[in-house]
Amino acid sequence: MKINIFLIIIIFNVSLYSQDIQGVFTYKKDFSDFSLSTSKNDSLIKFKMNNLLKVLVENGSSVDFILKANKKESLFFVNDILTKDNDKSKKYAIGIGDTKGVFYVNLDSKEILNKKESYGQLFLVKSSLNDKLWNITNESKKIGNYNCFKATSEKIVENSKGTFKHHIEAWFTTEIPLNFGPAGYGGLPGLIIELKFQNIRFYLTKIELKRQNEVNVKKPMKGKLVTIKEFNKIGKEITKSFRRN
Amino acid sequence: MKKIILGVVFVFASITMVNANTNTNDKVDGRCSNFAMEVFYEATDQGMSYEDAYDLSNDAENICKALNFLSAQM
Repeated sequence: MKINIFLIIIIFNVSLYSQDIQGVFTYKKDFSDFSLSTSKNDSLIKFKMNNLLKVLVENGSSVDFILKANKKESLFFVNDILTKDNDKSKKYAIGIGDTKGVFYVNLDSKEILNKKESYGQLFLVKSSLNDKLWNITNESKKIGNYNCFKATSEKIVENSKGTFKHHIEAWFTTEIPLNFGPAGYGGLPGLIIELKFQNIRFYLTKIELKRQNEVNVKKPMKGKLVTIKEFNKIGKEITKSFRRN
Repeated sequence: MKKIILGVVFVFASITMVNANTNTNDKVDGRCSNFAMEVFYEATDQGMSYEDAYDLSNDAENICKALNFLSAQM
């Protein structure tokens, strides 16, 4: 009887803890697998592209990304201390893979807001968690101390060359019951520890779990509010002059 | 008279140097713009979004100019 009461107390405490769980998580972005090839048989272009990638990888690998999350909301952003040097190639390294700016996610409203400066203007790009459909697999692995499960999805990109479907792979853990992750990705039954798409990989480097009311998430308000479709249309218009006839 | 001739020669030499410098900058600008365009095409070929390709090509142009990749060619 004593053991049963003890177990009930433990279970009650664990469930209370999981309800209160909040945290600040640090991620890094690795795009050493990212490549940029050219169909042109021009050794100078190839040389310059390789140098471009080298500069980006070197500058981008030092950047920390922060995810602040409570039970309902999360905010994902670049650790601004490291980007005050206004290094342009570092800024691009941060944004590569459509991960530029600040990402706000609200689980109740399913709202995702991405505040970013693009084409010389401040935007607030709105999308929904419902747009991200996950397929949770049986595959599991241990990352650090956490048992993680694999989930897959697709990222659809439309540009002047057509429609592209990029495979997304997320490794999440139910041991941290926060349904968020890097760059507005989330909606899984636990925190995303690792996220891969378009040869880019976000990986968790630091976990700071906090008590209730310690993690304050502020919804971004400034910027021109547009949908992803509208934002893409703006991009299409602006880059018209870039295209080959 | 000597002073006037020297003055005229100095002015001509200065103009020539400024022109040469402008031509060199224009060459680098032109080649770096072409490189940026090439990067944009390749990025969109690989399925990057307009925004990503645009940012990457801008960055390519800036890095190209800053590192002066073309100096060996000039």
